[in-house]
Amino acid sequence: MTATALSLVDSARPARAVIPARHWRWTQPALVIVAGVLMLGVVRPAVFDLRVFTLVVIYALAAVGLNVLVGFTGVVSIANAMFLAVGGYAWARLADAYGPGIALVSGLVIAVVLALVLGLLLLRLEAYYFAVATLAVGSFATVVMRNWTSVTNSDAGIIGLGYLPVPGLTAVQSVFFLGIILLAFALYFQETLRTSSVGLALLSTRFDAPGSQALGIGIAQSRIIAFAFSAATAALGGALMVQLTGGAFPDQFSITHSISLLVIPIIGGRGWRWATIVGALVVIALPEYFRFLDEYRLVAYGVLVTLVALFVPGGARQLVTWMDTAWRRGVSHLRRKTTSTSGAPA
Amino acid sequence: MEQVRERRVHGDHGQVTELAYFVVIGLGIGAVYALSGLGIVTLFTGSGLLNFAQGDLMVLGALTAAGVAGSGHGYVAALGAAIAVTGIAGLLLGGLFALPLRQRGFDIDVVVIGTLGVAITMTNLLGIWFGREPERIESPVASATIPIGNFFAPMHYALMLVGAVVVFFGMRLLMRRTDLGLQLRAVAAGVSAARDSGVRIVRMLIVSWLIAAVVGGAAGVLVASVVPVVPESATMLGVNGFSAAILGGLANPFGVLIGGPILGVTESLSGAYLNETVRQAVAPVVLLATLLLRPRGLFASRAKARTV
Repeated sequence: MTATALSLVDSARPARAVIPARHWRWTQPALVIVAGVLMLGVVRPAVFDLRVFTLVVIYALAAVGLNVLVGFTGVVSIANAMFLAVGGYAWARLADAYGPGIALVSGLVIAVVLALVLGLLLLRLEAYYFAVATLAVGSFATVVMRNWTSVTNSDAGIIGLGYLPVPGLTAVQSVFFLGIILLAFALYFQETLRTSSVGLALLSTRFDAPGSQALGIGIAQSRIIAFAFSAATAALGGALMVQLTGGAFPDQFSITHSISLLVIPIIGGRGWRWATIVGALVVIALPEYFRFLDEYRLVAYGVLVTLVALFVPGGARQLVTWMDTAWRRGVSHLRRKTTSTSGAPA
Repeated sequence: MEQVRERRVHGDHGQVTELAYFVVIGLGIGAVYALSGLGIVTLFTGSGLLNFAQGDLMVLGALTAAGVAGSGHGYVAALGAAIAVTGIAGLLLGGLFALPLRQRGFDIDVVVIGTLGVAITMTNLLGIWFGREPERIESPVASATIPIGNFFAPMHYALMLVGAVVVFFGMRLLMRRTDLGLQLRAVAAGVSAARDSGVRIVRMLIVSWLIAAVVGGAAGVLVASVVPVVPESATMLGVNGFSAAILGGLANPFGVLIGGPILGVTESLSGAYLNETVRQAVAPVVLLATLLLRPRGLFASRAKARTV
């Protein structure tokens, strides 16, 4: 545990700043919005590509909370497709009747309340047992979705769903735009959380639970906060997902999707601020462009997931850090060389 | 489990014999869950890893055996082939999961994601190799039945119970009476302490994966005579195995042997007297209820489940 923790905080390099850089609160959401606007206005991808990118944005949004849960507190949940479903079905049932705002917010609220209840009940468990418990919750949710016909219309699903139109944009573009805005908000919140005392408390429980408990941090409470946040972003993502596909079906919210959601922050690098965007690009977009692999796509995906978990547990971020350290080492090496040849004291 | 309904004979009969019939069926199905759970518990007590791919190992065994049996070989040959193939898979997985342990310990999320990745890989590979048609294996005791009043329970259910008991005692013998078992338990108790006492960690990890995979493979072969198996059955088999394992206590093979049948009987009875929806919900609900009320399992061992 401690050995892994050490490798993750990268003990080889001295910390650049004690307080995490606060400017990312603004710069990261701004960069995301700029990239999104450029995508719509300048790049103008084909419809298929835009659909893929929209799905990437949706998954990146849905996984932001899970990034906080897994990356900050080290707790693993295999039930988050359930919160996708809550958001999705809330949109499907309420958007036409009560308007898009009510639909989005009610999905969010139901998901958060559900997460709080589940968290209160289950987060007292040790992390392993919690993972198994969420697996049970996830499979129970699947049974509910398939059988609660009055709400979910079981396997036939609810079709013909509307989307939130943005003036001057097509359907997919509107969903993409809304996704970008919500993603920017979620990322802002993620970064605010990380630099707040609550976020630092969460981080401390991950690396040294007894130690943080001794400092007066309630481990269960902080984990519940993170779990509720993971439910909130997943519910937003679910609402967007049914807007993109135009229908809500139990198959969209299966355990497979819970696993995808969980894999996204891991592949990106749990706890990293860019983790869900990088992870969603790998998990969602890459398979779409590897169609030549045909049925071996998902096999390759599974192998990638296992290999990343076992050998690059820091995900894409670890690769970035490796390159960064190599670059720095190279630069300082060069600098030393040039100074020594010019005769100046190092 | 579908045949439970098919074999339900309607006619003039006592309610008690009907109940007894469904209990016997439930015990048999429970034996399957116990076998699935035993695989999970083997790995947990042998290495401290929680395997989310156990269902896939069972499916691998079942589909291999179905292939061999389908090409005209006998049941024993099919079982042997299944054990050989899952054994190889276990060795490979053990090697893979042992590699990173040479430098460091495991985080929980790494284990969960790693085995989930194995599950994704295997489900899809099995779909490609064996197709997605449901496969069945003709039981060696297909013609024999156990008479219960007017009902006739297939003898195979008894065979599954026997299988679960045999595997349990085999494991108990290994874990309690051999040096290998002692070393396995040492690894599960703490990797670094075990390493300091001279236990070969990598070797032990591979051994425990091997045992878990072989138990899973044999269990899969037994299951395939009762439930038609497709690659996607793995999730269901895995969840039920976890339910049985947690119900009995994750670190306690005896608990699994009891927990599986409890789960199976509950499922069988709720399927018979309530409806299919309730039957599907039994395993996850039992699992959740156990975690809420008695997280150490019905037969609490010393393993702790709560930190906070």
